[in-house]
Amino acid sequence: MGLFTSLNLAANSLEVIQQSIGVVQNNVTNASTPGYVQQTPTLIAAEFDPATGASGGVQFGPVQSSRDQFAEQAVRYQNALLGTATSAASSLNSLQQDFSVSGTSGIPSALSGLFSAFSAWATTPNDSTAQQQVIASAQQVAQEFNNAAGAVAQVASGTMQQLQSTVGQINALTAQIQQINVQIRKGDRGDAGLDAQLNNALESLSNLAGIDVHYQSDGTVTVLMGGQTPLVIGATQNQLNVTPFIPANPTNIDAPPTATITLADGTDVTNTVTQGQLAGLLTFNNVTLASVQGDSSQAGGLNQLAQAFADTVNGLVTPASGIPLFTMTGGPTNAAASLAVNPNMTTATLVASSATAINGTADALAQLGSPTYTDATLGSGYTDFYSGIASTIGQQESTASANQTAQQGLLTQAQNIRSQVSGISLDQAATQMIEFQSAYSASAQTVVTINNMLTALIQMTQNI
Amino acid sequence: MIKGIYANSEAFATGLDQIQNRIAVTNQQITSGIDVNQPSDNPNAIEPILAAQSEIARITQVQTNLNGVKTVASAADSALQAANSVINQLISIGAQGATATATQGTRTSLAQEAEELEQQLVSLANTTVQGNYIFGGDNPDTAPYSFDGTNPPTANVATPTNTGTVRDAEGNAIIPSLTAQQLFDSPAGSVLQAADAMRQALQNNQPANVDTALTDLKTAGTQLNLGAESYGAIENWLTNASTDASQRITSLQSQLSGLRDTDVVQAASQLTLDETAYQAAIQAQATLPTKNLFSYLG
Repeated sequence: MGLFTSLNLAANSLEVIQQSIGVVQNNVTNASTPGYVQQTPTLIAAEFDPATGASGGVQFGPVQSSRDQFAEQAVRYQNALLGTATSAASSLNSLQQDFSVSGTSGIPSALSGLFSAFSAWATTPNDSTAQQQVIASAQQVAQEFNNAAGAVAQVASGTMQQLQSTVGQINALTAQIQQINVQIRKGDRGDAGLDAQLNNALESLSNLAGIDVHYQSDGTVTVLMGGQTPLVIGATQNQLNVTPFIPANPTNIDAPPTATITLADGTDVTNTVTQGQLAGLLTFNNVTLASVQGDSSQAGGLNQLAQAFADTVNGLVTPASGIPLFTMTGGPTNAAASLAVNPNMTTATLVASSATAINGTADALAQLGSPTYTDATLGSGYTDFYSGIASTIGQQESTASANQTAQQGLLTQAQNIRSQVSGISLDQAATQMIEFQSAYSASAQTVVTINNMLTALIQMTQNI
Repeated sequence: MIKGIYANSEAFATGLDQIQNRIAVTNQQITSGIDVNQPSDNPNAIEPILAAQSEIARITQVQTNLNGVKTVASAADSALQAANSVINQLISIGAQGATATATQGTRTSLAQEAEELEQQLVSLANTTVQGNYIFGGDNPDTAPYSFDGTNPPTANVATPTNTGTVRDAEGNAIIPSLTAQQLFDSPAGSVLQAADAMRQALQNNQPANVDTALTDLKTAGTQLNLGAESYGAIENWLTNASTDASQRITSLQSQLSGLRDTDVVQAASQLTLDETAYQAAIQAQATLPTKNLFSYLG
């Protein structure tokens, strides 16, 4: 092997070391970049056999990514569960604010006020002040039911907007992933930056919807929601839509619709939304909210309460007064929102007497507030029924919040494991820099040495 | 949503956030004095809390009703005592008029006194409290009796009813009043008829009838006393019911307090613990090394 061969080898090693330093430097630069994982330069020794003339040397091999798909999948899984718990906790927290448990406001307070007014009226059945108080208290009850129904409707409206927004974010992320797939097919498969963008998008997507990610032989990814619904396949993206749903023959005609998730062709894929924020919002909208405000097949707790209470009161008032105390319009799912005091009811028309006693009606009405009273339709007293609704929402919120906290911990754990496997250690990068710097200095020194040897050789030749 | 790749930093920030939330909740509990401010604070306590509050409101109204009726019963008792006194005066007048030595002039004079006393009895039968005739039964707006000074007192409601009831906290009901007819015009002994008979006997100078009226008046007086005793029993019932209501309210308030009121000592201790944990976490984070090998490269 001649001096020129050695010089070429030294120069080549300088180039390889420069490339290696470039990889390390890129790691340091992207240490905080979401989705980026440590890249490791690989050096390949060239064939070296002086007997056959193989001169050896080093070649720059493919850059190795330290990405671990198991760790990534674990993070995405925990992130999806966190998304479910977070959206559920947030939505339930909004809803529970509409159910006062102070006892000094809201429906419970208004009901107590009306029962007290009935009780006072029963004692002084012909007192117009007591009658006026009954009408005023009844108006307060109606108002509180209207307010509660309005507040729940507002939460429902907000939830629908959140669903739209979440689906919009999912579509934006799947569009981004689809674009990355296109670039990968164009030959950017080994691009660490593109890989970082892809995985960051997948991680963000997993928080919104539970996804399965499958890597194809051409380097592209296929993203399935709930293991079934293809969101991205190669260069194809399937956009999601939020569609209000009312069945063909609903029991409650004026019920608020539930939400379904559909593909562009109208295919209903709601059943495949099992994790992520989207799942949390859907469950809240279609199960929790429906149990309170009703849907096509159920009246909803708030409406049940309003309807049962108004029916019972009217059942006692109408025989004596000739007209009902409360009125409602629309179907069962509109009971709470439309509850009102009959505008024709005045102190003159409100009659306390029953067939047997002058205060018979008023006394019977007063008994509705007794702790032993049970409404036949509801199977409990009115305040107890309200408590049941509030308690159920509170229980769900409490569970969702606890899940959120636990899930945050599990996600952190999964992220830590991923970080240990594929995160960037600045200490390690500094060591590599020193290592490559030393190698670069040594190779450079080799060049100088060979140069000196060649110079000496040339001088010797001149002297001949 | 993942904001960065430094999971430990994210976890630290989340942990701090959780401690801050706990501090905020504890602060709210101490400030409001109530542990359960929203359903999720203690879902299992919602039903008993609202039930207790509803029951307190109900019994408070029962107590208000009892107090209102008690005022009426007390006024009725006073009226009956006054009526009893009037009857005694009438008996005294009757006794004077029944003597053989009494002249027509004496009896005429006594008749005028009897008329005034009869008028007083009618007024007592028409006693009002806050504009309501307390012996009016189901017709509190109508005076039970009218008296013109000449004819016997006449009932303004032919067959008065009295169905107004009051209930105690347990739900037991009583009719807390008697009608003027029951008290002043009872078939077993009518005060008004006896008083009128006395007046007329004196006016007409009929000693024998005065004697009869005197006997009837004594019988009616006894009957009135029975009515007064009924009111005594009603007042006792009302007092007992009111005491029971007060005790129930106190018990319920204690129960409610146990269910939702903040244990301030425990809350303050929790607050101190959380604040210490918050400071410790920040200090621990601050002591973590922030340098790496690059910091030492020349």
